[in-house]
Amino acid sequence: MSILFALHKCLSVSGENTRVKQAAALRKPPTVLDYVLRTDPNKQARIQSLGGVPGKTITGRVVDEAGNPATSISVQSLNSTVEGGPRAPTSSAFPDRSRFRFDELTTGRKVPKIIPEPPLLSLLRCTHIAKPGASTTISLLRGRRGPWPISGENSPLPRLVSQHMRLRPERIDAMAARITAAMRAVPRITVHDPDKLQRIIRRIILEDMQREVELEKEAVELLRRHQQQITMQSMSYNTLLEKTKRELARQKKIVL
Amino acid sequence: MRLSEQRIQFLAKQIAEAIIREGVVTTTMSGFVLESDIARHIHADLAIEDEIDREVNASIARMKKPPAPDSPEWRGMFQQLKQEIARRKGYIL
Repeated sequence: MSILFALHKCLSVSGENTRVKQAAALRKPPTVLDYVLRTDPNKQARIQSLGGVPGKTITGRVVDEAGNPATSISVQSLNSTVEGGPRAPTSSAFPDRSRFRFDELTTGRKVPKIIPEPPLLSLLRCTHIAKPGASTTISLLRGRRGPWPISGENSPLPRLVSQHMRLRPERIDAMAARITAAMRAVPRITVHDPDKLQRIIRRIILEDMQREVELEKEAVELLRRHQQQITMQSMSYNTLLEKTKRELARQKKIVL
Repeated sequence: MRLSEQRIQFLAKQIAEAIIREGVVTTTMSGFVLESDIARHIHADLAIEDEIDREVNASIARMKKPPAPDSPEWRGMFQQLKQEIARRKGYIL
């Protein structure tokens, strides 16, 4: 129950931040967008900016990692700030679906939404408007596995949970070896069993990293249950994930 | 730094307690000093990556036409250079 309360606090705080950002976005309308759609760690599709009129239009095109038009993706704009949640998305005005143009951006707060064809993902979004020339990442919030048109293979869709630990096992091995060597060089320390020392260091660091992965999975699950609220309030998923992880870590007395 | 200072201290404390408990080392240091020493070693190891990051940033900054910071091109180039430098230094990332 306390986790939910803490999460609600996170959501409220993020909501306020979002409103502040929205106000800033209204004062400084976006002109150029360059979003990155991550598909898997090695492949990506980009939305390239083709310019636009400040506060009026956003134009661009979607390209794959080689820079070729990604025609299997359509772009939709989504105003997520309207009361009652997202309104029906507007389809791209260009007949060539690799290009898009959205007009009448009177709020200055349009959130591009990318939906692959066929729509295997239920939601992709970006939570803020990029500064001219800047780029940002669009994260998958909810979806299911399926053929991914960009990668051209049945790869898992972008990972919600970083399945990689903060430190890879190979790196932990190397670290343990170096720390063991360093400790052996300290005159006031007598190492009786260097191999065992190395194994202990490795085990402790590895277990700690694995605990973080488990914690992150738990945080993702918690956020998934609040998905609709997060979507409607246009919150930054990554920020919330980080906050939820920290709250869970605090409750479980895990040091992050 | 990949790990926060608190986390490094936490890991060092765990390691110090385990190695003393299991009799892997003997030392004239107090528990606190041993923890600090282990923390220093972990910190030094992780700092190598920070140093590599700084080298990569400097290399990109020296380019005639560096990609825009934090753009996909910049990130790709950063990762590639980082891997190269780490390999050259024999450091596993």
